[in-house]
Amino acid sequence: MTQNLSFEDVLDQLMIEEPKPTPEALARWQKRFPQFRKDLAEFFEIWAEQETLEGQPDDAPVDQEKLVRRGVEHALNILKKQGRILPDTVEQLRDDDQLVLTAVYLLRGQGYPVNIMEKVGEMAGTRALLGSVLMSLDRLESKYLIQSREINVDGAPRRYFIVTLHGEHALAHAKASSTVVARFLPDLA
Amino acid sequence: MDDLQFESVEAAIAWAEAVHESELLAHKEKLPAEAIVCRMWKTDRANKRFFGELWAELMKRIVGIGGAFLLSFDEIAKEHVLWKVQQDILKLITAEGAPQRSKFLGEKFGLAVKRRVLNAGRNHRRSAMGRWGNVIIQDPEAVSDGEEIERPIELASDSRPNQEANIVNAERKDQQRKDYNKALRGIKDPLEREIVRLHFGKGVPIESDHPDTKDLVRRTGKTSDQIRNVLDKGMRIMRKVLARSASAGEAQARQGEASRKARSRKER
Repeated sequence: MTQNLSFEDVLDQLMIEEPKPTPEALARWQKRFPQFRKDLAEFFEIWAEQETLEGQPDDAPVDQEKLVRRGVEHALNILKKQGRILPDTVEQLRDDDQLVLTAVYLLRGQGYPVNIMEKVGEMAGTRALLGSVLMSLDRLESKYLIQSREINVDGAPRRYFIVTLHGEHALAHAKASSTVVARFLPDLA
Repeated sequence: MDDLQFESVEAAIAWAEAVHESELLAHKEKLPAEAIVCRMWKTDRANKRFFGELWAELMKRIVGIGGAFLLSFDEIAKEHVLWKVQQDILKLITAEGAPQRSKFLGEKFGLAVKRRVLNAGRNHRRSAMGRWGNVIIQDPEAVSDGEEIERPIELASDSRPNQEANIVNAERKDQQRKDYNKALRGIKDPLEREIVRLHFGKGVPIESDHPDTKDLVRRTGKTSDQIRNVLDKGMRIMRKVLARSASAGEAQARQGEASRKARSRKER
């Protein structure tokens, strides 16, 4: 099994098991993975070198801001190519979806279909139907306005919902047109 | 929520998965990196701000952790290594099925970064760029280039332990500079040679967001991809030149040894 591991996998294991780059540790790992004998020696060498310098001032600090900016730009380009960046525009929501989204927001991550239904009923002043709340949750999730996670409660799976930033943009728009939403979300910008 | 504290990394991960995106962003600095990584894994699509802010937070931590394990490297080498590590971790976070393949990253972020930095540092030293030394190479062509900032060899980072090592290091650096110049002359196209010289010799970035930085894209009018191709091609040519020169050197040494033996036989 150990023969099939890549050098990267070996290093992952090594870092978990070895707190310091001692000669004994190197010998142990070279014995375990003779195919990486030379690579391990080089790795231990650079590790030991950096350990001896630990705590010393950094004479050649990097421009952190530049590296971060460049990295973020690169990351966003990749995510964009993968189609994972949502557009800035949000579409107009139906009235019932607006209420469900507001309820999810107010429940701050603790909302699941039943208490969301209760919250919607409380806001609208009438009894809400679980079926229509479930349909609304599916619609909102398909538009990436909310996100769900499944948790086992007393042996049964339960879906909890949170609001995304995209969802908050939609709520801000809804607040401008709905007095109910505006009443329950006075602080939302 | 201002005194947000977690008993364990697992507790932080659970919290990060259960809050609205805006709340997560508001507390990102207090979260362990593992919680940020796990939340990114769970997010299929989001708006630019969400991914951008979380990724910036991770980058800061990568640079912070990584910089501490690259103390004997100069600034350009450090940037090069940290950039590689950033890209490696980005791949792990954005690839399909990433959580299964890189569980380590979501459990021990600091160790995952440390081992990547040390290994990337090792790879850098083994590379042609690394073998040219932990010094800024000052090549003769730069003298006529008025706009370049002079970066004398004396200013390069120096962790020399004793005088003997100083002499060895100086000889090694001198040899590296000669090798570099020889390899550089192997690139026949003047523009391509200039691009390689500016990037590897003077540390001019391919592309920079800063409007005042004269990066290679601005200097040459080429796209970043074209420049990367030129650099790859240039590197290949330089490696070939160095390999040829190394084998010629060995042959010369063998010949010298043979004639020395012949001479000593004759004398006997």
